[in-house]
Amino acid sequence: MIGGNADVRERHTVTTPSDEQLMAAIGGGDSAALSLLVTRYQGPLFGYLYRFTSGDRQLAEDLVQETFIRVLRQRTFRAGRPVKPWLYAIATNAARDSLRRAAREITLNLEDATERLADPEPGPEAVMLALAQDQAIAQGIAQLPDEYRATLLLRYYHDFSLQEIADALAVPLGTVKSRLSVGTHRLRDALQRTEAERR
Amino acid sequence: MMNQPKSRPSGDADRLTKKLQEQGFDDEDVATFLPLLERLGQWHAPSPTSEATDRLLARLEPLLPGPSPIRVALQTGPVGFTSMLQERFAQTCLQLTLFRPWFWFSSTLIAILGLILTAQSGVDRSLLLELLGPALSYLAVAAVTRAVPSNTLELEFACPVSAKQLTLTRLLIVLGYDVSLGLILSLVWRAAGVNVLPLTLHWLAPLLLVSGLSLLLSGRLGVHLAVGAVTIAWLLSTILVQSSVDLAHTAGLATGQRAVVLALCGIAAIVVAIVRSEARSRRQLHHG
Repeated sequence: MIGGNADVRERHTVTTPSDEQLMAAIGGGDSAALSLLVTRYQGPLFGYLYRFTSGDRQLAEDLVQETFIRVLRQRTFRAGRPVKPWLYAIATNAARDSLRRAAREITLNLEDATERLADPEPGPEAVMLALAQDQAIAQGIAQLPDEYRATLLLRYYHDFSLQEIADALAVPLGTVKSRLSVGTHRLRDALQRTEAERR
Repeated sequence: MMNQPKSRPSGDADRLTKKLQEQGFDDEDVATFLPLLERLGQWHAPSPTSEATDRLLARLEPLLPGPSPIRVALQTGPVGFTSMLQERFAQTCLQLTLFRPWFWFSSTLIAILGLILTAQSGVDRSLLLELLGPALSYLAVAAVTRAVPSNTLELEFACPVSAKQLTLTRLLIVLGYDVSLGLILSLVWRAAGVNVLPLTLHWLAPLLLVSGLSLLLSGRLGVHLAVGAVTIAWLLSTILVQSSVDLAHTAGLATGQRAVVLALCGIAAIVVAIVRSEARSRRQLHHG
């Protein structure tokens, strides 16, 4: 049985290379490795950046592209360190830079919601309700400063450990805990304010 | 699936509770904020379309770094005996360009010095050549292990050519050059009517023996200490043997035979040094 397990582990290693192995292969010009890394991380990064930009789909797509371009151009990855926090660190910096360049307040994007309104399932009323809930949460998150927003999104939407967040945002572990505590309280207050305004 | 984060918060209340506790929230806070976290899960993010993925890959492909020349060379490698010979020849030519002029000039100067000294009347030519040989050995070993004092062993290990191949190639160059110098001297002696073979042996024997032992010991003692210790030991033993006729007779060997035995010992030491060159170089790398 041990041998069998070892075989399974070996096959798993062969068929699904680790992120770090993919980065090493990409450094050698392996396009298949790049394709695999993109397939693995495009969705999660898009989800992160979509929420970071409060639902701006086009901007999130552009930022995912910018993130991978920085990965290939900057080559700041150091062997032996985990890829995931490093990748999200680049994505967070790209998003911050973009928002700073545009010097704009985050505004809610209703494009996806109106797309859903055209969809007959599950019905316009339910969609409107979902839209209102989306908007309330998005608005609450949008009111948080960048560093709190990034911390909360990584923790609650992407299941990052505290250490992974610390690595991704280049802050001490204590700061992560503090941001989570303050950010969660602020988010609750923001949501309460938003709901009060809606009423 | 690895590293595939969920796109929305876990709906599992236990997991969310553990998360909040890990963040330092007490039970009261957990009860307060658990509904908030569960509510966050209501905000779904869309997935990127396959067209967006294709566009992204098309944009990224041209930015991929090209494969390094070393990687390409390692993957292709020489095919067939002729290609291998061509590659070895190319390596030798490359190594030739790496030797500094001081090596060629110093070796030639020592040979000329030997020629001048042996031309003097009343001189023990064999003894003189046995004392001069190690000087060439020092230059030979210094040239072969040139990466050690210049701290470039890491670079040599990063090359597709192994440490054994490098040592062998350099030894062929330096010993080939030294033997050529010896042959030129032999031609001069022959023109002067001197018996060439014993003299050539007295020239080559210390050269091979000191070079071989120095290379062998350089991994443990360092290049300069190894060459110094072997050279001093050689000089002392030569003087001792020459000053004690009885000792030479006790050994039961004529001087010519002794030179042959020493030369063979030297060749054996060189072979062992080449075989162990990889490990020797790695030891030097760690000590350096």
